[in-house]
Amino acid sequence: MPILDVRHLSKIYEGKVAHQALHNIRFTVEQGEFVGIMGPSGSGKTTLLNLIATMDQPTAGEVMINGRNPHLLSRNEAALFRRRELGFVFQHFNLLDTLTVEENIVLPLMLESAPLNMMEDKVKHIAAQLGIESILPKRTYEISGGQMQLAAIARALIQEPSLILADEPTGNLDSKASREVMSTLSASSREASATILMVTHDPVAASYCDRVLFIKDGQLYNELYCGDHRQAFFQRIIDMLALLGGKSHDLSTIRF
Amino acid sequence: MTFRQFASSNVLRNKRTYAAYFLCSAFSVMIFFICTLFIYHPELRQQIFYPVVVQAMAGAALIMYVFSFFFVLYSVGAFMNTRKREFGILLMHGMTDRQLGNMLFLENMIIGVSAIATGIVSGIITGKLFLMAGSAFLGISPLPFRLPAGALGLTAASYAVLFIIISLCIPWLLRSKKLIDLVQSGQPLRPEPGASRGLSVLAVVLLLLGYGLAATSTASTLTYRMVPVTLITIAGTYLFYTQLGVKLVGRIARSRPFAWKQTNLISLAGLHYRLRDHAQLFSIVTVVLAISFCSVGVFVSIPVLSKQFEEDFPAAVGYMSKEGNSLDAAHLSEISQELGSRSIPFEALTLPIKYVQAQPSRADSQPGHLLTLMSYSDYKQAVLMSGQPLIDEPPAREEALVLVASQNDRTYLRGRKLTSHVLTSGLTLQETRYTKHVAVPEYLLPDLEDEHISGLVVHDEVFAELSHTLQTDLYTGFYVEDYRQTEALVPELAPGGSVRYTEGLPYALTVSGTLYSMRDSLYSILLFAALLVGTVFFIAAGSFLYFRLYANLDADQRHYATLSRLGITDSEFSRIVTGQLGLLFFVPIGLAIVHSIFAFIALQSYFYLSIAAEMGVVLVSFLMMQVVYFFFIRSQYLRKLRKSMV
Repeated sequence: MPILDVRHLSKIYEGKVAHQALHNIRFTVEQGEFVGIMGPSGSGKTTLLNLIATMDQPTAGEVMINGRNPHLLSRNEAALFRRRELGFVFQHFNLLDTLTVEENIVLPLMLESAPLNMMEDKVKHIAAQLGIESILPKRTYEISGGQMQLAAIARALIQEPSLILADEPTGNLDSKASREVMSTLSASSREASATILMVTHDPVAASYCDRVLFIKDGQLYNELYCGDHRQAFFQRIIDMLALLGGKSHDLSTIRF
Repeated sequence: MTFRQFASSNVLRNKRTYAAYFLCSAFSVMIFFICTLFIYHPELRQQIFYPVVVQAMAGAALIMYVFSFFFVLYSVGAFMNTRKREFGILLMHGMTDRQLGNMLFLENMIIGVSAIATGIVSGIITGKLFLMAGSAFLGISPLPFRLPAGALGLTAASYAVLFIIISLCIPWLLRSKKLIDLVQSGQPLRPEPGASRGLSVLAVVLLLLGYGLAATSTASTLTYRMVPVTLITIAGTYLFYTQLGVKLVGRIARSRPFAWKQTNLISLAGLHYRLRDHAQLFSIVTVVLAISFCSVGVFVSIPVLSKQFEEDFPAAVGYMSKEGNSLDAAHLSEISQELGSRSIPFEALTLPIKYVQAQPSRADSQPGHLLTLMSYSDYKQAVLMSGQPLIDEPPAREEALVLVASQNDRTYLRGRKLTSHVLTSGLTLQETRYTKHVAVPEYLLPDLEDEHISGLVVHDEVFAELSHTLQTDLYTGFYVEDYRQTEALVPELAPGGSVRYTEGLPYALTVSGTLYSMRDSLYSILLFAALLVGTVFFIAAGSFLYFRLYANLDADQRHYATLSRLGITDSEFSRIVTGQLGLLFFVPIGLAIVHSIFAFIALQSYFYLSIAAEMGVVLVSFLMMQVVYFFFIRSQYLRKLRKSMV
């Protein structure tokens, strides 16, 4: 059974002029898969992610996560569902700046009233895994953007959620930090067999995925599989983006 | 868009931030206006207590004005802080300092002028209500509504001056801010709050010292202790928030077994930063609230004095004829005639009061002091005539009872030592105890050097044998069933109800009915003025809190949006917010209540009767108002935050 099963998902924004943001999207994500979603601005990537994250209600179709449809849950149950089944990595990190890195990471466990020693063990384990032990006692303003994103990934992983949703995780990072964050994400996907769905603009970040879905005008346009060669995969992503209507000079700076 | 439009749209678009500041300014303008309405009221001028009303209302207006000045200054400073980044951007795009100054001046004047207009208009609308309340307090028939030009002019002019002065101060508030500081100020650079252990201990010491001094003060030490104790407590309050509070919360937040449980850490960490960022505000709110409680408390407790009025003025009409007074017979018959014409049955009593020279001890060669003496049997008769049970035992030949001037003076007598007096005849009178009753109404005896006693009660034989008497006065008391009936009796003899012994007339006179109603309206009008001022202070404190909350709304919205994505349920969310708001609202008021309780303990030393009940009513009613305000703001705030949540 797939972890994520998106069935005929449509979203129409009502307003003076109704706008169809998503049109009959369907795809599945298997356990341990790392899937990227790309597309030009306004193609509906973020809408799709928000629907899967239960932050928004679809107009038609349904989303099944681990066999459950979160859109049928009450507000309260949806909150608990997000807490237990989903992990989030955001473009702006969204760490709480009143807490230390360590406290930020254990936050989901704390909300669940996990036993103290279990929390301490888990945070130690996950920090070792991501190589961020040294920043655990620090505050968010003392660490770099890349470190913040690693901390956010640790927070997303600590509950061992069914699905991790990442929204432009490298959007605010330089290329070196981006690479570090992406290799951490793909390593977690491989080693901890975490299932990750990532929205991104960045072809380099996308090249770390096992598979990339392309969306255009709210519809699935194409998908690419990584295969064995990441460099070749990257080239195919670039080509696909060019085909999607991005202007080639948009990408010139990152073609290396 | 002209420059003026730019400034006015800045104000209108920030209306949420400015709302509380605007409302509070408008409210103080309104109360100021109401006070001037009383001062300039044409019908009130004809009342006998008009001078009292003018004093009370002018006092209230002045306090309001001074307070408004600081309130506006502080609020403007606070707004500038929240808008630093905006100023930075404007300056970076080439706005000159002068233009920025002009813009802020215009903005502030827009708010100021509209606050004045709103205040005066709402004052006009509610004026009748306040005049009715005022006349009810004064016990007169409801005053009609008048709109004197003086009241309008004074209010508008004084507040216009206030806003202009503060608007002119703005460039000075902004000076020496580097562009880089302004531009970068919006960024969240939030080091962990720190606090020193030494200063935390000092906070506890100062608060305990302040409380200790307040609790142990007596009527005689109260006056010179008041200022230092207030300063100590204010300093203690400030350190309590900045040091002790931060330290304690930081320590609790670090204790994992407690903090790492559900939403505890989120609340604690938030509180930790909030305390550090708002410590100054918390102290101001606490002090302002405490002042408000105390001022209302003082004036609520003063009417307690009226309860013992009858004991302090045992005779409904007391007439003291000084030696050589040729008019006494005429005056006395006038009083009895007026009593008769009002068909008030009365009994009269006349007794002599003698004045002699005395020295503190036999060896003393100094000229000595004046002593007022009355005989025990006269004292006994005067007490019995006033309908009080006699409790005092007669003094022996060489003994004397100290006659208290009024029951409330007992609070001073606690610190006085009994002494002895040597009369010119060589007789030594040893003070043995204080009389239980006041025999002669207050004001009818001269002030002695020892100002809280009015004289000595001596053995009848000693009184009869007195030689070298300097002067003998005749006291006549008229005793009636209900002294209130004597209101406005013999007004030409005693305008305002009393002629004091020290006024230099050949007689002294007290008319209890008139005195009582004068006092009653004085206390009432003072209480009314204190309530007006207290309410303004209370609302100002609330406005500080409101402003703080809304200045941080954006950051809080981001904070809770993150939490809600991570999966926080509605009940957990409202628990965190309620907890944080609760602390914001009730820690300052809680501390202010503790401060006021100690202030009231100190105040109690001034009063002979207990004022605990009055104080309880004051504190509980303020607390209730705060609870209502809390629930109102909480629901608004939760609604605002929910908008940003998933």
